[in-house]
Amino acid sequence: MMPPDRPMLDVVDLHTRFRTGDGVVRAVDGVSFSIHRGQTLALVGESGCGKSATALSIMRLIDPPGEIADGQIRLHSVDDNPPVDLRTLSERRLREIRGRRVGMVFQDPMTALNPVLPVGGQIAESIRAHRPVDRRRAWHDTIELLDDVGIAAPDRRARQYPHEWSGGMIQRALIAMAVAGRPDLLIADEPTTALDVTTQAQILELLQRLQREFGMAILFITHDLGIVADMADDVCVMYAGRIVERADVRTLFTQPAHPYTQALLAALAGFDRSPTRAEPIPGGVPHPLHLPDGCRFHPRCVLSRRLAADGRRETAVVPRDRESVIVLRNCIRPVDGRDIGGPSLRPVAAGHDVACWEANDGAAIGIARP
Amino acid sequence: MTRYVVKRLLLAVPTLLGITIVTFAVVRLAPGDPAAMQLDGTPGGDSARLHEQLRAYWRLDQPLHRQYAGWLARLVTFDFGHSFVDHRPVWDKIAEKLPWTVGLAVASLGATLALAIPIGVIMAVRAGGWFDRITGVGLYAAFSVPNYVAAGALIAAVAVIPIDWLPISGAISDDYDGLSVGGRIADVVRHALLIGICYSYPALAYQARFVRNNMLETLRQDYVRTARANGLSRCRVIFRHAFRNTWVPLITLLGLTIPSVVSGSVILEVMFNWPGIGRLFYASIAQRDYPTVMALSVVSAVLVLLSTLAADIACARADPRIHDAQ
Repeated sequence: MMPPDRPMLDVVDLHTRFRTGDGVVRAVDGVSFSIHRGQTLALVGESGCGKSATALSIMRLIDPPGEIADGQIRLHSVDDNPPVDLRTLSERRLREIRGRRVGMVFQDPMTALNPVLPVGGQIAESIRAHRPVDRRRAWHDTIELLDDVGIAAPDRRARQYPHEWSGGMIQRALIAMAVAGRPDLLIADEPTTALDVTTQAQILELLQRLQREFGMAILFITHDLGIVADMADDVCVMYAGRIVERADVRTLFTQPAHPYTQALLAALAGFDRSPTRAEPIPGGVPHPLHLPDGCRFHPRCVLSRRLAADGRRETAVVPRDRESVIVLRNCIRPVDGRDIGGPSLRPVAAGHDVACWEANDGAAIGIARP
Repeated sequence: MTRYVVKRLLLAVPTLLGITIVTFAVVRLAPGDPAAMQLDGTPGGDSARLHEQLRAYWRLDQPLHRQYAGWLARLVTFDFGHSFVDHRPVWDKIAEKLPWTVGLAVASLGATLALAIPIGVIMAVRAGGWFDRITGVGLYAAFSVPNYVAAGALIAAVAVIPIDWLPISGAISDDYDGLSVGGRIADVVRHALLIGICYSYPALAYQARFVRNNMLETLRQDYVRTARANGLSRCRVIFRHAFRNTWVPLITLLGLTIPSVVSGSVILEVMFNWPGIGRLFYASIAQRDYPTVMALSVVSAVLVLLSTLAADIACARADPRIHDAQ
């Protein structure tokens, strides 16, 4: 078995864009992260920040007019074979990876299954896509899988059609389908968003149990920080196509360094039973075709506004690439005219990276945490 | 399901009655006197007595509602009456024409579907590609040329430059009875070729575009993404998941097309001298052959009702959600 410190998946500088009539939307704009075997990485952010596009890019399910423009998606093997880059893999070899080495569960269970085929038949079909077994054997395994994910009377249920199932049950079936090939990595794209709270808890429990049993890594995509606290080992916070903060779950919740992460935590009402009221983040996610210059979060950023009000933020000296020093004006652009885009990730502590020119760590900024 | 079918069939009875009443009224209100037409040219045909006798024989002297009641009473016993023109039983006349029309229509439908489905699927899978664009323009052009215009052009072309093996009129050659079985089949196919092409190409154009547009819709669905994410082969994703979900609209479309299987194409059958129902209908109306016209309306109305019912049942089989709603 692979030692847990070796990564299962490395995403390196991933760029995914969509050509629209009005311009190019950079849905994923230079995202890098690693997921280790048996661990859960949560990708958090508001709607439209590029979480799902990242997940679909890893599965190579981005269809025109979208395309993966750059980057690597390295999937490591459990034995000592060299990793494969999913970005450059042929469609044929990709099919051997999908559903077998990487499984995926989607957001809306009610539309995720083919309405005109029985649920069991669709699971059996997925099984047969990866294993040379006959119909009877695949059906038998399907019943077993359904039983394992907690479907009562799986024999009868498997013959039913999706519209006869509840959303929570279908999500269980979809999870059964995704883990049928015993994947090394499971991508769960907001798997509980469309479900009610009780069902949500059951699905999360199921995912955790399957992870313990199969030792698979999970890429968990959500906008719900409450779920992150329960599920994740590591967290990446995304904003407008980029990762703005990366840390283990404990650090992220106790010492959030990026003003956006802090704002997300402040927006989480009643988290850890503190009396603090939920603080909504002012403004909305920027239009993907009209991203702000400089730091993409600055128009909504409390820190940026406060520093500007204090008069401390007219210029600041920021180290970049170890040697070059660039003078900035109010989180927007360098005084010398060179556009360096937004801030890139830099370490503020061991295993804790943040993409903000101004943040030191959570304490220094002094924003009231809930 | 059985209850549903019985209910639909019972509901069809008043619909059929309504159709016959309207047809009866329209046919009778149209100007023209079948008795005068029959007697025209026969010796002593201008005799008023003969004329009255013939009208009485055909019960045309009775009030309209009694004529209708009498016709309906005979219909219940499947008696369509005798033709005014040649006095043969109407059903015999229809039965001898029906195979030519139905045969042509079924062959045409099979050929159209066999071409339209793959064309539409490939267009949708490669939407925006060269095949999609070129075929799309071609289909659009084909759809906008009425088939009688194409028929006229083809007949004119073959008339100018005759091709021995390509007849433009009738359904069989004069020596048909002397041919072997294979020879007979080949003979009918040769005769059916031109009318078949004219009959089929508008449907082909329409169906291919219909399949393409429905496929574009289903290919976008979440379940197609799920199927791909589970590593299913491209072929399975396209046919078992995307195409399978276009069956319901396709069946509905075919259900609406099937009635033309019986009425046939009046204009094409007349142009190509094809011995089918369409030409019989045309001739019967021209000759005010009331019993034949009424029988043909009843037959096609029944077929419309049956084919829509068949399409609804097929839809329920194709989609369990419709089945449960019924």
